[in-house]
Amino acid sequence: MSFTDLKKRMKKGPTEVIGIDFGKSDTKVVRLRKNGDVIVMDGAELLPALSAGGGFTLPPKLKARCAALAVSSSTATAKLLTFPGAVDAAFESSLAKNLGQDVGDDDRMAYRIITEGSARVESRVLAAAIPESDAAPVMALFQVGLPAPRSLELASLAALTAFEAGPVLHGASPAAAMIDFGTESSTLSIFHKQTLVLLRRFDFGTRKLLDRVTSTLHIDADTALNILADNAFDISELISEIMSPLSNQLIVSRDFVERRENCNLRQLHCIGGLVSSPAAMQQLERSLNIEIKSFDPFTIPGLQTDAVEDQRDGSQHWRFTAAIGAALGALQEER
Amino acid sequence: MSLRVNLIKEPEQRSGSSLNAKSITRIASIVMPVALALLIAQQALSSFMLSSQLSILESQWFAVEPKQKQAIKQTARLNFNKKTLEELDGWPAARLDWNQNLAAIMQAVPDTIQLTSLRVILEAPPANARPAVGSLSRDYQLSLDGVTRVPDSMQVVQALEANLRRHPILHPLIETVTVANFAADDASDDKSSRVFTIQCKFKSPPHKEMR
Repeated sequence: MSFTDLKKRMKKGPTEVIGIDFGKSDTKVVRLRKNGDVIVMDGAELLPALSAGGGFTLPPKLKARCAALAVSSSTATAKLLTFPGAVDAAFESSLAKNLGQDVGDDDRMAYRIITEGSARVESRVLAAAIPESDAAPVMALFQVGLPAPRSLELASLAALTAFEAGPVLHGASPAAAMIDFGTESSTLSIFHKQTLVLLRRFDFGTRKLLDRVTSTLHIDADTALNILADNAFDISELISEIMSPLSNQLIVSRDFVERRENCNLRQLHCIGGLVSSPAAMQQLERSLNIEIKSFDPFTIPGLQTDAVEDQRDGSQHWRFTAAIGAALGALQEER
Repeated sequence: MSLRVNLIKEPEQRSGSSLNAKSITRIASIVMPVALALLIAQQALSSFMLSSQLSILESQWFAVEPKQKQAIKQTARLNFNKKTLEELDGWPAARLDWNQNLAAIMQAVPDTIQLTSLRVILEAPPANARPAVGSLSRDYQLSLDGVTRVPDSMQVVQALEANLRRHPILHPLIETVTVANFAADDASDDKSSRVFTIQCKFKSPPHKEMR
């Protein structure tokens, strides 16, 4: 055994970790710990967003030695890259170029190999980049003391880890899809045979829908939110019009995957603010002709949520998807 | 398969554990030299103590050694003296009253016999026949040489043999009497002259217990 192997062995993964999702609207915190083969959720809290000011203080019951961080950034980039051949040094050097023109020199970049290719097999790599200006304020909160940061992820990708642990690994169908409706954009991910086969981001977020409703109906944002949530007014035509470009893009993406992977997508799991709008969900269901479900990360098999079940409204569980995903990723760290 | 794409920089990443490779290395870098120094000090102290013990024992030995040599010599001398004492004690135990014995021999010898030699041999018993430790014994053997010049010289010699065996003084002392030699006397012109040798083996005297 070499010294490097010994060092790796000593780097034992954590047994308890807090997942923190620094979102635009609020900060989501969950505390997970390993208990044999199951993972126990000890707590889940919504804290004010960093942008609201007032700093960041963890509730005592959510403290742990390690933290897995997820951050939302409108300027971050995440792509599923597919290219012939193996992943080599040339790929790493051209990673910024592959991620697109938005990636700057000081951006943080990282990737994970989904499928290792060879001469005749394509490689599939999940790559992400985030501007240092978005990551640095978050990392500054954890420079000293506990919890010690173990990872920093894009919230949209951290949510994939939670989704993978649920419907992807334990669902009845070999194909599973999830759309994350963010404030500024939405991210569609499709898995087939437990492998990520598509990741697309659309410039459609809840803000766009909200702005359009407020301007069309001449109402303020709070009223528009209420209308979207309680379905008191029939705004289906308006929603259909607003969501039409997104629906078309989703149909194209779904058809593309179904043809390429020779599969049939029967369900689309949703998380994000738009989940609270029944009209939007119904419109999506009609357009895609597919069952739309809200993804509840508290129902992930092997995750015990008894300690927090009575504290939270079940319809808001989706808010913790990225935080849970980040924490799960840290707990799944290889020794 | 984990989908985590970790954007954290290596210097930012901390384990959170109070015990990691870095802390172990730090602790070991302090503890190991201290432990080594303590071990060396303990060995040096032990060596020093052993050395001082050795020098004490050596000085004690130098003081005792002449006495030990003297004791060995004295033990050897004591054993020699004991043997000598035993030997000397053996003499009175083995003593016989030879004035009576010689008078008895004189009486037993017929008139026709001339004794030419009387020898008494005192022999220590052979080693394998020695009496038990603490006792002493001496074996006496009497050898009589003589000449007779009578025609029936053989009967005369046999009469002497019988006299010796039956004599009241000699009888309790003598174990065996044998005529060891009976032959013509070459030194004499008389054809009837005969020389003879009679050997008497005395019984072992009673053993005397050693002091």
